[in-house]
Amino acid sequence: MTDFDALIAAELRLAVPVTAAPDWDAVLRAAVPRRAPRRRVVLGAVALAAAVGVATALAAGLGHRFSSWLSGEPGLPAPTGLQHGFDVRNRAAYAGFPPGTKLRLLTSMRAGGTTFSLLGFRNGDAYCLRLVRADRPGLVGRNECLRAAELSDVPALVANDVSFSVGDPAQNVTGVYGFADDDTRSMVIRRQRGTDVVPVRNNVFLSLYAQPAGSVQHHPLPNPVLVVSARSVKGRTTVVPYVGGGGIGGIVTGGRPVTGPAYFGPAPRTALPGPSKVEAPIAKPTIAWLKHHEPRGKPLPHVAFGHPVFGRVVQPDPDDPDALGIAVGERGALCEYEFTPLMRSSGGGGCGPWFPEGALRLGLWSSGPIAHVDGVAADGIAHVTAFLASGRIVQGALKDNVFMVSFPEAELPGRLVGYDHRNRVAGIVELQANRVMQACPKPAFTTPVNRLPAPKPWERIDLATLEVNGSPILGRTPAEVEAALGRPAVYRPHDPSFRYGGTLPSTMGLQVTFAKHGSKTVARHLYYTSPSLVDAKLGHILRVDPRVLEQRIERTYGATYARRIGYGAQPGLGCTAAIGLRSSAGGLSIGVDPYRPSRPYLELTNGVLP
Amino acid sequence: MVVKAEGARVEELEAVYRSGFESFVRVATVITHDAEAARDAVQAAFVAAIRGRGGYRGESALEGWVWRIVVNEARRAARTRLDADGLPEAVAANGHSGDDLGVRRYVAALPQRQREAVFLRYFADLDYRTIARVLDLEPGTVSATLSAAHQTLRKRLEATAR
Repeated sequence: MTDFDALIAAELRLAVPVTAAPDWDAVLRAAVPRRAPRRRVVLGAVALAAAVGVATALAAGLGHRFSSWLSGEPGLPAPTGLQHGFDVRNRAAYAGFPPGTKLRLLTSMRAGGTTFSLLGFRNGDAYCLRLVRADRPGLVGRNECLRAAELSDVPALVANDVSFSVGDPAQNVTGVYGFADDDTRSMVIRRQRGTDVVPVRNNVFLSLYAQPAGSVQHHPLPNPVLVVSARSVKGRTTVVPYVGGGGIGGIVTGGRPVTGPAYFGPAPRTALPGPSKVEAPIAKPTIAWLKHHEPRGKPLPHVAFGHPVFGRVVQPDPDDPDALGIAVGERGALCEYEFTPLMRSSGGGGCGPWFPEGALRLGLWSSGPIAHVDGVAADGIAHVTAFLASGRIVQGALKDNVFMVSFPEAELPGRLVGYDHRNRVAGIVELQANRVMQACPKPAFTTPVNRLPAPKPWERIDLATLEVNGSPILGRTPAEVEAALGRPAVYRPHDPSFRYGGTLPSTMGLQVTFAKHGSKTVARHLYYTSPSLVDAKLGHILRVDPRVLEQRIERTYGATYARRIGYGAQPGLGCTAAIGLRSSAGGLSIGVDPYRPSRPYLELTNGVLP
Repeated sequence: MVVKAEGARVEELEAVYRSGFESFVRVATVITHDAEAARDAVQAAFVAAIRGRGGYRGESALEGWVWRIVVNEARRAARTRLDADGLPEAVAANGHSGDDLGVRRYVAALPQRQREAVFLRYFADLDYRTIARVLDLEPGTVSATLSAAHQTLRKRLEATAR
């Protein structure tokens, strides 16, 4: 695969994130004819009644807990340069804050050789934070606003997680910032590797971490934030709701990390809060004003896709500059375009059927510690409410059929419910749960080692030399590999790879993957799942728990290898360990597919090749 | 080399399902423009695969046979929806805002057949012959389709870089 291919593959994986979890049992149930239909169980009224009680408790403001902000003047006036940069950016932005907004400098910090400034301001009912490079104050920065209700029952809350690229050579700066109340003295930021304790100043905190940005060939490990805790002046530590949006891809169960190797798996199924039944469905849901080209909201600026025939931009919440452009697109599709604060153009969007699943259509969903969910509601929807698994109920903003609602993403899953003018449930959309950190399963070996078939030539390796059956395989052509290991069960010439021991991923014991190296095609990866795999010194290495195996490899081959990622220590990567060659960028990884723990795997890579 | 088979076994289908679930859903999302419909299409495809597993004759890899069912199910789901173009719904449902959409936006703008071929190549990791079977094309047409998609993407990316 060329770098260009790799770029496309990586980008496409980002383009279509998969949040659905596999459910083989459901496939089997559906495949087997049922004897009799099952009765549906309707939930909802009980959950609604329980949740309404909570809602009333959320109306309070910041009270006396955020004294710096009560005065309206937390910190110091922003230096002229930072204020001017914001003003210029704000004027040029399509979704801007009110002109004349005055910033306050709350705290600053150096990371990656660059100073970052955390600025604060009020915007109507919202409390806003802006993190920006001090040397580039006119850039968009990272901006987030919270309401008092979101801070009402927690000592602190992460407002945003951030990622900047700075310096030359480039450094990646990642981190979190947020609010903390008067009783919180410091914040404990637990990362994948290491813990950072940062002070609370002016009721805010900022934690940043810098590391080399890496290159196409070299990929430094990310070090995402996993858990955020508030430490009170009396020494009490409280874990605060947090879900990382910077590639971590999940949430720590119960706010606490799993002890030992872990991966991010699907969240356990829980009963969703809020109404589950549409009482008054809207027949033929539509947006009449848009179809009739009524000029509501603001004009839609130029957008990069969808070829809108007619569109307008609506800002549903007067205290939140976030806006949504909606348009009639090509072939009558309904298109949405997101306009986030301080961006000069639409940040993204999509086109599709108008209301394929009822009176609400979810639109953009900016993932992060605070989820901003928006979309469109059909004519007849009078208000939109989010019911969250945390028990909280959040009233969404709704104007000209565009809704927006924000909440900590850690409070998912939930339901978004649209009500008609008679307060009847007219539309429901489910908000999916976050992936949850789970312990890696122990491998389940069904066949004892002494009953395994004798290893074949391709099942004899030597980790000291990376040779197979006494021959170097990595870097060899398909013909040379076949000469050394025998004829494969499958040869896939267009996606050059050999499979040994079986034709399918589920049955094969080894896959040799080839890649172009100059004018030649040579072996780049060896991927083993064969239980009969034998190493010259360690024996049946795929019949050993990976936790034990990584230790044995270190003990036996310490001069050759160094551990890069402990088994299951990087949950975003799954139940895997990376062990690198000391002499080059290559190495091996071992691990277990959590959904198939009976077949651990070993992958060998020669890092010398491209 | 292909092993002759008298129908697929359920456990083999399960292995294909588990190992390829995300790729199946991604490609189905590209076709249906809707993450939920895509997931349903994948589930329905495997229900159909189990029920029709006796029809698998082993002339090609099992994944390819399943992929064809998945793509057909997704197309069937898409036909019941408004035929609209644009970014896949999943991007809209949980997208990243801002300036990092380059390649994704360009891929989204490719013609449908090129887009399907690109996703089958990169998500499903299928070879040209299997893509041809899945999309009912000649292998040479797949090669040409992917080549055209590459050229378009390269051109747009280079234009962006300038």
